[in-house]
Amino acid sequence: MARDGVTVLLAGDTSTNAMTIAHDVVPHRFARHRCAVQTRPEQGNDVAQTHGLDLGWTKARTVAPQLRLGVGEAHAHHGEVLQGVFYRDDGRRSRALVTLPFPSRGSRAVFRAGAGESGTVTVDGEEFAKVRRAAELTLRALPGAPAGGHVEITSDVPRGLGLGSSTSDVTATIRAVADCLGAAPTAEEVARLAALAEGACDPIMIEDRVVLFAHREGTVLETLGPRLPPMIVVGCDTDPGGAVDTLEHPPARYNDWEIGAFVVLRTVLRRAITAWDVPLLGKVTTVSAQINQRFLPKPDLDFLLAVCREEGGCGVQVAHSGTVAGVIFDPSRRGTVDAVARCVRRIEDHGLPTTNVIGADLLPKGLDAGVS
Amino acid sequence: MGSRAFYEDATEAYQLPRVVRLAPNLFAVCFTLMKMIPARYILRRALREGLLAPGTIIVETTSGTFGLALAMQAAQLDRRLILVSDPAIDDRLHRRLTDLGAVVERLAQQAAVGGYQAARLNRLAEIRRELPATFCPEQYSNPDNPRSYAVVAELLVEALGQVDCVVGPIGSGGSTGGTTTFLRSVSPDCRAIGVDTHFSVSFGHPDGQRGLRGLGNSLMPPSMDHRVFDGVHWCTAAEAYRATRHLHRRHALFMGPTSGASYLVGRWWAQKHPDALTVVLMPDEGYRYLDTVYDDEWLAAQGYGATVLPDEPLTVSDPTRPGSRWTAYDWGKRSYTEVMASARDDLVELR
Ligand SMILES: Cc1ncc(COP(=O)(O)O)c(C=O)c1O
Repeated sequence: MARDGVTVLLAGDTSTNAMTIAHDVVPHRFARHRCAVQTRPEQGNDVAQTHGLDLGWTKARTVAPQLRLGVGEAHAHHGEVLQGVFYRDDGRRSRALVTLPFPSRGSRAVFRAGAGESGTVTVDGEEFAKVRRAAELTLRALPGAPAGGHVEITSDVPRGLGLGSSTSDVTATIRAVADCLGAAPTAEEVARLAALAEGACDPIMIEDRVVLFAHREGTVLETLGPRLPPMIVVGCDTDPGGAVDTLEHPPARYNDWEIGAFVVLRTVLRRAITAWDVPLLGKVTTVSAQINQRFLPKPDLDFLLAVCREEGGCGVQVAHSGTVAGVIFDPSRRGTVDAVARCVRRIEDHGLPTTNVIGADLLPKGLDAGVS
Repeated sequence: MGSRAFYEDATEAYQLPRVVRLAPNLFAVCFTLMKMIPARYILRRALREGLLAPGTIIVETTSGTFGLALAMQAAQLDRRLILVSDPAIDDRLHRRLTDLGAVVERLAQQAAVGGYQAARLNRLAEIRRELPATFCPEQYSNPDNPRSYAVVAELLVEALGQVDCVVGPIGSGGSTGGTTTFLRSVSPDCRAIGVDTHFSVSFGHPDGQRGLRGLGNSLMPPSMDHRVFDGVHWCTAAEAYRATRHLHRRHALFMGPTSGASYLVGRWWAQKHPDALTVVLMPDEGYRYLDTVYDDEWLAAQGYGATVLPDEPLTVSDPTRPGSRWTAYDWGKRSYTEVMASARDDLVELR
C-alpha cells in the first residue's frame, strides 16, 4: 500500500520488518474481531499441493513459537472497472475482473503463532470461516510452520456492499501468517491462497499493476498497465440496508454478444490505462455496469448515469456482486471540483448514502465543503 | 489477447486483417480471407458443443470465399466437406478447394425464383436428407456469423482507438453488421454504411441479373439486421471494377471487387466527413480476379472499358428502384419493414 503513515516497529521484530500504519483511517469505525486458528499438523502441505500450489517463498525464521507475531494489511476495493468472461491465451474462457482499489479502507490482521495449539479449532462468528481457512492454508503451505495460532482482524470495511471486506480480511491474514514466519510470498501466491480460501477473491493483493484477474482461479489473465489513470470516483451505496452475499448470488450467464463485447472492452480498457484516458475508461465501466444489470441490477443505475451525463462525468462503475456504485470524473478537466460537489449533493438528495470520494486528494482544496 | 510470436495454425494466421491508412481519416481493413472469421468461430463452437464428431460431414452452400475458409478448416480438423455452389466458383478456386479435400458441386441451373441461391439451398437440403450426420454452418441465418466479428472490432479499437464509420460490402451482412455492433458497445455513435449492388434484394431492390459477385443477394438473408445501417449504397459492376483498379494503382492494394466498391463509398464518405475516422472492410485479395477485373481486355469485352468513376453518388429517395449508376439512400437505422412501408407511402403521395 502506497500511502503516508507512521512507521511502527513491531513487537518481537528485531529485523527489517517494519510496517506502516495509515493515519487516514478513522479509529472509531474499526470493528475488532478475533478468531483462533488451529490446523491439524498431520495434513502438512497436502491442501496446498493438491491445489497445484507451489510456494517457493518458504524462508521460515526460527523464533521461539510464543514470540512469533505477524502483521498484514490489505485495502478494500470499490467494485469493479470491468467484469465479465474473457479469453485466456489457450482459447478457453474465464470469469475475470479488473478491480477499482479503495485504498483508504482496509483490514489489518495480527497473527500469533502457537497459541491454541491444543484443543479444537474455534472461530468467533460464521463470517470468519474464510479467515480461518486462509490462515490454515498459508500455514500448510509453509514447511516448519506451527500448527496453529490466533488471528485478530481489525477492519473498517463495511460488509455486504461489494467493497471486498472478505478479501481484505483474508489477504491481511495470509500476509500476517507469512510475516510471522518471515516468508515473503509474491502477490500472485497470495492471490492463489486467497482464492482457495474464499472460492473467489478480488485482486487487491496485486498492488503494483492493473490486472485482469480470474477471480475464481486466483490467477492473472493479463497485466493491463502499471496503474489506473488518476481519477475521482464519487461512491455510493445503491441499496442502503440491503446486502449481497457474494458466494450465494448466482454467477452471471453472459450471452455470446456480451462475451464478444468483453473482447472489445478489454482492449479499450488497455488503451485507456496506457493513455491515462479517463473518459475512455469511463465508457468501459459504464458498459460493464449496464451488462451487469441483467444479473444484479442496481435500481438507481439510470439515475447515476443521468447525474454522470449532466455533471460532465466520464462513466459509472459498479460492484458486480455488491451494492456500491460510483460516478467517475476526470481530475484534469476544468470545473471538476464543482461537478464532483454537485454530484455528491445530488446523490445524497436522492437518498443514497455516499461511501467516499476516491481520489479526492487529486483535487485542489475546496472540495471538503461539499463532501462530508 | 497478448502479443504472439507465431500463429497456432493457418486459419488463425489468415483471419486477422491489416489496417492500412489511405487518407488522414480513412483506413482500409485488408483481409486475405475475411470469411475465415465466421468459419473458424462457427466450426470451433460446433466442435466444442459436440456437433462435429469425426464422422460428421460439413455441408454448406457458397459461391466462394466462405467455402474456401471452410475447406481450410475442414482440412485441419480432418472432417469431410461438401460445398454446393454455382459457376461463380471458377476453375482455379475449384482446384484449390478439391486439393483441400472438399467435394464441390457446381449447379448449372438457376431456380425460377431466387436464382442460384435458391437452387443451391434446395440441393443442400437434398444432400442433408441423404447423409446420416451433417453439420451446416448456415452463414446466412446463423447469428454466430455477425457475432464472430468481435476480433475485428477489437483490432480496430487497438489500432485506431475510436472508429466513427464502418463501410463494408453486404452479403450476409455479418461482417459490417457484426463489426459495427461491437464497436458501438463503446462508441454508440459509430455509423454503418452498407455497400450493395443494383438488383440485390438486401435493401429493397427486386432480384435481377447482377454482374458484381460476392455482395448482393437474390434471397433475403434471414439473420440480417437492417437496423444496424445508417446508409446504403448501390454500385454497378463497372464502377466497382474501376474503383478496384484505382485502389490498386493509387494505393498498391491488390484487393477484390467488393473491396473496390466499398473503397469507392468509403473514400467519398471520408472526404465528406473529414473529422470522422472511417474504415473500409476489404474482404479478399485480387488473385481470383486477375483474369477479369484486372484484365483490360476482359473489361473492354464486357463493355466496362470506358467507365468513368463518379465523384459522388446520386442520392435516391426510393430504395426499391434499381438504377444504372452509384446511388445512395439514407436508411436511418430502420427495420426493413419500416423502410419498405415508408417507400410505399412516398409512392402513393407521388400519385
Ligand atoms: C469477397 C466478398 N466480399 C464481401 C462479402 C460479404 O460479406 P458478409 O457476408 O459478411 O456481408 C463476401 C461474403 O462472402 C465476400 O466473399
